[in-house]
Amino acid sequence: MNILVVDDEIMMVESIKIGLISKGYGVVGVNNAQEAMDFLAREDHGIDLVITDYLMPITNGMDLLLAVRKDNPTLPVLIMTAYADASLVIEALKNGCAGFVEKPFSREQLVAEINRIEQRLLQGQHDR
Amino acid sequence: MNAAGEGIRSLMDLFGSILGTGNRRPPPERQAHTALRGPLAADSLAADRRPGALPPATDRTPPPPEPPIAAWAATLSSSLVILRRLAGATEREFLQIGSDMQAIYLRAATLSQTAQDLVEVASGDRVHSLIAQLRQILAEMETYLEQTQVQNGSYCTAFATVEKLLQQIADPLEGFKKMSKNLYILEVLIKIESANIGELGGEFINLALDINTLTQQIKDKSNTIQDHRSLLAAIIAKNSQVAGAALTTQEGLIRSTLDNTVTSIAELEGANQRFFELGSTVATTADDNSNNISKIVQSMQFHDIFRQQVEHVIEALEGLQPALAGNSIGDQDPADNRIEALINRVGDACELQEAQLQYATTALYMAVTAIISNLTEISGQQKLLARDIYNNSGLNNGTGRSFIDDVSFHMASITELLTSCAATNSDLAGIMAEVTDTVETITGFVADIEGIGHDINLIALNARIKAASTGADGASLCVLAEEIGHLSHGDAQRTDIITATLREIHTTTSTLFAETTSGEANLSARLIDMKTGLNTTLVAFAQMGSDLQSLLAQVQNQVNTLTGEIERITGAINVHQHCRDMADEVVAGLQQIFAQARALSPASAAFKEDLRLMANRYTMESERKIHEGIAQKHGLLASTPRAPVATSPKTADSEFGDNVDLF
Repeated sequence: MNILVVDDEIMMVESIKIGLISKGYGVVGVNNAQEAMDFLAREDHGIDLVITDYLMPITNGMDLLLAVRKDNPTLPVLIMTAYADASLVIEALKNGCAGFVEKPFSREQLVAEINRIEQRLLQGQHDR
Repeated sequence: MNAAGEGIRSLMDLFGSILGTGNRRPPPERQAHTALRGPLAADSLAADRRPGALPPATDRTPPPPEPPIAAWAATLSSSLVILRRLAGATEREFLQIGSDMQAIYLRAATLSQTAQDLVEVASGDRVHSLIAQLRQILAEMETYLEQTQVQNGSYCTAFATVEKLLQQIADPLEGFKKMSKNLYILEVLIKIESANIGELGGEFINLALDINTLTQQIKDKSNTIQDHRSLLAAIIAKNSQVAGAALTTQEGLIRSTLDNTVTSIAELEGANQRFFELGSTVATTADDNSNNISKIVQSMQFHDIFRQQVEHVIEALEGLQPALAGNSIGDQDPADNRIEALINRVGDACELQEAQLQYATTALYMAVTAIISNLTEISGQQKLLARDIYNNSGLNNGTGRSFIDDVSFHMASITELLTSCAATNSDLAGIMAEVTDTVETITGFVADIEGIGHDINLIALNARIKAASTGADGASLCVLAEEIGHLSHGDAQRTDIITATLREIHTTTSTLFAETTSGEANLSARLIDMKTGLNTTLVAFAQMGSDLQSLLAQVQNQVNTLTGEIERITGAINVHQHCRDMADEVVAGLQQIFAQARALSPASAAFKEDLRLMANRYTMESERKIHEGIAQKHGLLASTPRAPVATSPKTADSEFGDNVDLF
């Protein structure tokens, strides 16, 4: 599974990359929503899941989620946030967010969340 | 927005009004309730401050003393300066840690791979195959050595037999000497007697000359045989002794060398097994490293969380500044109420933000401490792994050789022994060939003597005939002729004895020689094959040893680099200490402010109730703890367990997973 990690914190992207690569995932890291959207605009992006921080300058995770939904309706987006307040959760879910992880999260928690999304994708494919 | 959404909004408003938290770049909804500007906050703080409303009778108490607003404003101002620095204080160092972590991760992964390669070299199929080859070669060598020992023993036995047989021909050879002496006497007598009978004796003079010639030949031949016999006996005596000693020495060496080699191969197999088991240790260490790195990754998230928390504190405290400047409380309110409201607001905000800052700083401190601890653990585990690998390499047994060197050394000893045994065998075969040749030569001489004896017999017969023709005058010559005939008969008997003995010697030597020369050729060929096979195996072992040494050196080098790097990194990390020092200064200021504020006006019931509600309902675990902590400090009961989700029970495969809390 190939994952696009989006966070304005370079260190955060790198540390998530370390954690996920060690679990066998392919990981691409970018530092803002625009870079993410540019990457996803490529036809051969090969990304199966986007993990984005919520709080980023200029374009936040919610806006990225909306942009992804527009151009890649089936591509799941997982949002990371240090402040999972209810309104944010509800808004994100309404916009088709596949899941949330609250910081700080462990590699296992993140991987469990990724697995859950993966299962849902497989189930969706099976149902179709 | 539906009813649930409204409810959540209300709760968020309530929370925001008290906590004054907001995101670093908060969304519009959150911005509305940061810095104590939410509608509920206004309601709770100014319940009795609506324009025109009279304060309740119970509130008609003496006005509180004047708060030290200027001092609070100054403290807040200096605290904000520190907090703004604090919000960015972790950036550089965490970036450095993140960058270092990449290097550590790669180094640890490389080290795990090197360790795995090393284990594979020392325990893989290649070693199994080489051990099997060694065992086969060793078995062949053992058989070979047994055969050469048996063969060399046969040589020694044959030499002893030949030595004994050679002694048996000593008497007959002595008989030839006596016969020569007797023939010489008879020759002289014939000459005398033939002189006595005058003309008739002329024939006998020629006869005597013939006897003389043959006697000389017998003498020469028997002397030659004697010389050969003596030489042969000396050679056999000398070599039997040498061969016997060599056999005894080699016997001991063979035993000890074979035992040593068997031991070293067993050690090789033991090492092979140990390295195989070490494979799981390497895998476990790699897993542990991965887990430690995962924990570090988790801890590093506190940088972002800490910064956001500090920014929230900044925002909340900044919200107080206009109030302290005297322009935010409703101008319509009576002065007393305004002052009390200000004191309460300042007290509430400072108490909450002090708790928030303490919590954030402690969380950061613990996270950084955990990073250092996890890094140290990685370093320790890699050192342990390197030590295990080194111990299993067999390089610490004091000999300075690895188990592979030991095997090579012992196999080389066996090869030397094989060469030595083969040389002894070859020497003994050479001696045996010499014995056989000499015996054949002696046999030739014996045949010559036998021929001479036959000639003498003819001469004797001729002498008798001639003597008979001389009548009575030749009677004495007739006697001499008969005597010569007797001597010739004795000669025949002696040659028969010697011939039989020599045949026996020949049979012994030639049979053994035939056996051993064909066997020796076979053994030589086998020796060459064994040496070739062993060389190939030892070259493969040497290559493996070289690979092992190289990988060991790499492991040591990589461990040293990694642990050195970790020591350098952990030694340089002080962001947690630095941040705590800065935060402590702010915390002290805030504590002073809210202590003064509470002394002037205790925390309101509404504030306490808000805390309890937030502790029970706020979505974020960290802030819930903060509110719960403050609520307890104000004598409120610990929060009741949070209500389960109103909808379906949450399961691991619920639609939104465990991380989404829908209240």
